[in-house]
Amino acid sequence: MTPVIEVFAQQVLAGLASGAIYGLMALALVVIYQSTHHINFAQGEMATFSTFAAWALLEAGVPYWAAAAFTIAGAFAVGALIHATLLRPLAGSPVLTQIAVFIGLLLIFHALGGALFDHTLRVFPSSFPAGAVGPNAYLSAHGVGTLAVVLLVSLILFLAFRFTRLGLAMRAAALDPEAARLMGIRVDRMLALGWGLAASIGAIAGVLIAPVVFLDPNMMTSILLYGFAAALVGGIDNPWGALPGGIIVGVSENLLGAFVIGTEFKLSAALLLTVLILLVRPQGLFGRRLVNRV
Amino acid sequence: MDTRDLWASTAWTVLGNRASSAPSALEVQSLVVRRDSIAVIHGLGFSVERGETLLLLGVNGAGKTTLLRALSGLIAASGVIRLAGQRIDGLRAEDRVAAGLMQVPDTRGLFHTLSLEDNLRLGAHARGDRAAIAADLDRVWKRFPKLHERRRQQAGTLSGGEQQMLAIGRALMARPLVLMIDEPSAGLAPQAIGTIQDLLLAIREELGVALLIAEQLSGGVSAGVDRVMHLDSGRVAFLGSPDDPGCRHLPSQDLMRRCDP
Repeated sequence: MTPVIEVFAQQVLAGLASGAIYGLMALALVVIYQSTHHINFAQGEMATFSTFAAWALLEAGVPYWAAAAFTIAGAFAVGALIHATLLRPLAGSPVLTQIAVFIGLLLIFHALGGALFDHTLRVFPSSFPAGAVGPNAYLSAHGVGTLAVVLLVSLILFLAFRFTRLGLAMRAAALDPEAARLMGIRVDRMLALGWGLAASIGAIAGVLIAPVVFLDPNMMTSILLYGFAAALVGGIDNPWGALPGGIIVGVSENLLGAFVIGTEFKLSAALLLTVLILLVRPQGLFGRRLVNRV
Repeated sequence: MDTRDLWASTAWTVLGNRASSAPSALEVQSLVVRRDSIAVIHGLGFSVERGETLLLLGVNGAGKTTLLRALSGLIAASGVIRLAGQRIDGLRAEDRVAAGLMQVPDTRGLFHTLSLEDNLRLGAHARGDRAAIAADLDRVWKRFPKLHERRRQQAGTLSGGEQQMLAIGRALMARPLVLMIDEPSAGLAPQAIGTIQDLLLAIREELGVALLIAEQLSGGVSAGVDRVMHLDSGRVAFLGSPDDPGCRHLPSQDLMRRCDP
């Protein structure tokens, strides 16, 4: 293979792995967006904080998978609690009030992470073996593991939302809370579940990205921006578009960085993509426009 | 529970003799609804029996929708509401559904981006009996073969009349004891209104559901009505049989026509 093609293949594969993470963050954003119609700005900081918690557990000698399970469960509880204590009493309040809560959460989790765990860069271990996979060593074992975990999580969520009674009730509660109540659905509970789910998804993303980028209180800041771009590409109203959106953003970011604009401008490219999508196709590449005859 | 047993034994068949000692399906006493501390429903009292259709008439703003929303628990109200003898006024809206009270709102409340089938399944959310739910789903599809052909499509793609049928079919999936429908004829062509009319008659005859139907004074459903309740500024102006001479002395010409069909 010629060197250019080799670099191309390498960048595409690396883009798949990081794109999978963006897809997870996008999914977390979309889950909250569907019920609140706002972007949860604190999603990244919540994920970072969860990753700190996982790190602390690992430092305390807890085995990796147990620490991961505790972290994901803990994130779920905290997410559900945030909805029950902060968002639920504010139901029906002005948009700015709810946005203020999101920004407040962002600041709180950011400061808490810094205060409890310091601002230094920390090495976070990977559960996957070090080194590369395959004959040409294009993709690290951690990258392959990341892809596998993200695909598994997406598959489980897809099956749960598509085929279970609870998943259907959660979708209904997000689509039209009042109509859902008239079906006997406990909407508050469903929305709290959604918040817990989003926090758990964020925690998984944080634990998967931390071995690649080092752990510090700002870890997820840029990841969240990529995730936001991914959510818009896939369609902010469309959970099924989050992962494809993440892959598209991840791969194009890597290719642009390698061949066109250089690595320094990768984040700018993601922001540009966000603006372009909002201008040209606000419903996203995979977003469905609402069909409604009257 | 009473409701469930009733359905289990007589589901989708003609309901037999109504024992006179049995409590009303829906009983309302001194219901008051306030909006910004001003009463908009002034101490209403009425009841609906099993297998009975009560037509709630009134002009826009008379309080029909407010009354239905207060009964279903979407807005706060004071007073006593009994469902088959059991008080439900302390329950939240989602728990009143489980008790057997179902409302089809004036917006129909369909989930437009979900499939027809998912919409119907959501109607049975408060129930736990999987096998019976599947059987009821089949019955609804049999009743609406045209909806069955399109069961995987988004509910928003249906015409207005089809949406109303789906909304009513979905409410039946809850096996309600009392079904309240807010303006089933709103925005529908006369032909579609006829179809809805036939459907409501069939529900009353076959399922023994107590029907509380709100309509404007003119147009809308009229056949098969057992009693008429005329609501005027949140008060009962008339409550009785459509054949009752009092019904004809109501102000509206349209209403007079409907009192004596």
